[in-house]
Amino acid sequence: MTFSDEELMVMFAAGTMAAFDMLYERYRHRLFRFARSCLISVSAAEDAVQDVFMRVIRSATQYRPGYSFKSWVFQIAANCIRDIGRVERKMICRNSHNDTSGLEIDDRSFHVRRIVAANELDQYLKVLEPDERMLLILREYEGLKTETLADITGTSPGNIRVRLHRIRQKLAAGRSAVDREGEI
Amino acid sequence: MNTTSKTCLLLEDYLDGQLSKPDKDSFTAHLAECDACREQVRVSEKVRELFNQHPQTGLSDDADLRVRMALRREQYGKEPAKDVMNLEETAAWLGVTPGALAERLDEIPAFEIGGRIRFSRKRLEKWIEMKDGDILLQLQQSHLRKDNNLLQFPGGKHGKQQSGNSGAV
Repeated sequence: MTFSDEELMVMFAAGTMAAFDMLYERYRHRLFRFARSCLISVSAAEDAVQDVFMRVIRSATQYRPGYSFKSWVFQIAANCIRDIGRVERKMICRNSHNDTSGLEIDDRSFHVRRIVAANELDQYLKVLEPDERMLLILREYEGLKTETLADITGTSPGNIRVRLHRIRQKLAAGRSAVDREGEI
Repeated sequence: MNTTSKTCLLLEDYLDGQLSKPDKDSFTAHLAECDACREQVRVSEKVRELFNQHPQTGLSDDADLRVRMALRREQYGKEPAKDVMNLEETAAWLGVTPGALAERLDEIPAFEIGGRIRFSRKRLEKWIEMKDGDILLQLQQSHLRKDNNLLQFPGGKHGKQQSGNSGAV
């Protein structure tokens, strides 16, 4: 029998530690990838994962049974990443996109491929504000639906549609500028 | 650029592949006419493509272990320590991994009851005072070792057996 995330969270809130372990197994890599996409360094993303689960433990009794665990945990993650991101941006001046200090990959070819891709991705998304970037990542990379995003951000699905529309418009405009630069 | 129509509102569902066949056909026809929606789809596809080209690794083993340790301390740390603890509880209390603790069992005061290893908190406290924390420090430093067999959470994929035992305290 497979328990749903929500059932596991209720069990954990009632004191079943093993239920928490299962939630951790289900979400640790996913949350790390989300954090890694939003934050600059690997260690900051790792800290974010730890903070998210810490907050899950500390807020377990505040979890409302029936509420989507995915929405809840990503809401927590978004807050943690926002907090860590603020500190990180203050500490790191990221002028050079060739800085590879945050990319800890063993295989050289993979390493190079990742740097190139990361640069292209960063270049493409650089016109976005941190919150816009986060929303886009949750939508396009995590594949979360507008209803879930509305839950996470505390707005309506309609508002999410409008925000996504504007973000993509912004990207299209930014891309056009980059394309024009490339042609010169 | 066209003005937003009701069909434009189907964009997100279209991107999710959630539209019914008639709605999808209708939206596909709309795309041919609507510059704004076409641009939205193009950007969405570009972003997804870039994310896919950007190989993301999961949480590394070392980071995973550090997080698990911190969470374990958070979970167990809040409860007042018991006078008699099992391996998991003792490891959490000492801030080390069960694996590291198990490796040094010959140096740490433990006793056996009913075939199970147990630790007396009072004896551990005396032992720590006596050792001046040196061994404890070594234990804590060794927690980054990748002895995953002993370092899973009780409910983890390798730790279910342990969970049954620890639940019987």
